[in-house]
Amino acid sequence: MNQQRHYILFVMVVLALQCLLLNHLTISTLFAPMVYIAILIMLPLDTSQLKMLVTALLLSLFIDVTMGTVGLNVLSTLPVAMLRRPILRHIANLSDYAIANDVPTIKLIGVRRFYTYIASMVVLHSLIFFTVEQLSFFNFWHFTLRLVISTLSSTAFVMILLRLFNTRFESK
Amino acid sequence: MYKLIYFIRKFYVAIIFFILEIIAIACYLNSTPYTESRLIAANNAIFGTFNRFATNTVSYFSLRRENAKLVEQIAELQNRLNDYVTRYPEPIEVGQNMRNLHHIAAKVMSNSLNRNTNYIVLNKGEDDGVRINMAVLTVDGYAVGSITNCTQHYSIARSLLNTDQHFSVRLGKDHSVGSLYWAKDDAYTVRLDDVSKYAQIERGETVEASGFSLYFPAGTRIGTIEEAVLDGMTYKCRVRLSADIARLQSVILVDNSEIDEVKYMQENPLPATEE
Repeated sequence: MNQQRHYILFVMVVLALQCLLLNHLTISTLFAPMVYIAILIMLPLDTSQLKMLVTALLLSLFIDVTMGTVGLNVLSTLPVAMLRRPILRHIANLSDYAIANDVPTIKLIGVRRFYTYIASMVVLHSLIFFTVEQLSFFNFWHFTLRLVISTLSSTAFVMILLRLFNTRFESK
Repeated sequence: MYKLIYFIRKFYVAIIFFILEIIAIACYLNSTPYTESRLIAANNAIFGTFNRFATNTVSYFSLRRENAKLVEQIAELQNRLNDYVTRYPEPIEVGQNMRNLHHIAAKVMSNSLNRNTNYIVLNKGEDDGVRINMAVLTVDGYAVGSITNCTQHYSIARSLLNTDQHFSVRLGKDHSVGSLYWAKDDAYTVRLDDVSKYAQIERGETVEASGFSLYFPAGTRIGTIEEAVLDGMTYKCRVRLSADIARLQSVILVDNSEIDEVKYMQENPLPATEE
């Protein structure tokens, strides 16, 4: 129950950060961090594929509405939701850790595996998002630079957020 | 049915995922003018490539039909040209002794190359207007042979590659005449003898049917001089044939309706006397 409250707080903070701050940043076109993917990253390990899919759909629809895009976030978030379990299985050997209601934490899967998992999810999401957004490789170097900078900044933001909430999730 | 239900129950999440993705992609691609334009561009690229491939494939398979049509058209044009020659004979040199020519396009059914006398079987016969002694030319107008026999639907021609016949030919520039025959060297070369030692002969000189030949219209190209050796009072030459007889597919048959009359005159130089 305590963990659920923490998770709801985490979701609200992430959505507020994404919708109220990051979506309105006009520092550069190269800088477009996507932190809302952290909500999917931190879903409990035993979440079924269907629940993952529904959560990802609702989350990405909400982000689409706030960003003013039609379907872009949905089509880039759903594959991440579908591939979360295989990624976790590959990186963290999921079956050993699939304990009811446990969220992926550093304590549970280890520091290196935890950050590899976060980076994999963010890179996958960013790759689909920016490729679909551009729909062309006409300005290839600009596209690559935008992808790299945004992916790095997204990963950094997500890691900081998860680091902040990690202790709360670990102390259930 | 059971298998279908089993399949859906097993993969329903994946099915839902794909349906949602397709809906999202459709919504996104139709959301802005930019995405719409990219969609149209991609569409055009894919269908353009497919259409080009399909068109090329269809064109390839219709080449044979197109080729046959072209050969028919060439024959038709040759006929029209001959009408023109008949009506306005002065500027045209060809056919001074064979004005009344008729052309028929034909396909080669079989073609022998390794006998002393080689024959070409053609798919046109008496019903198509083929007659014995008609000249057989390539589509480009190079000499190939002459018709020796024909049935209702087929005909057979003796090609230049035969050791029985000698043809009267002339050189392209100075019109020195000679006798052309096949010495079984190969399917591409024939011999030319009895050319005067005073002839202006050189490698590459064209060899054409002389006006004395009844089979080929005067000026019909036969080949080019490949080698010429002076042997006493005459040149002995090797001639490369212009027609690639080994690869013949389509030919034009040229009819000289006056050949019988000319032959009759040659055989009967004096008027018939009443007994």
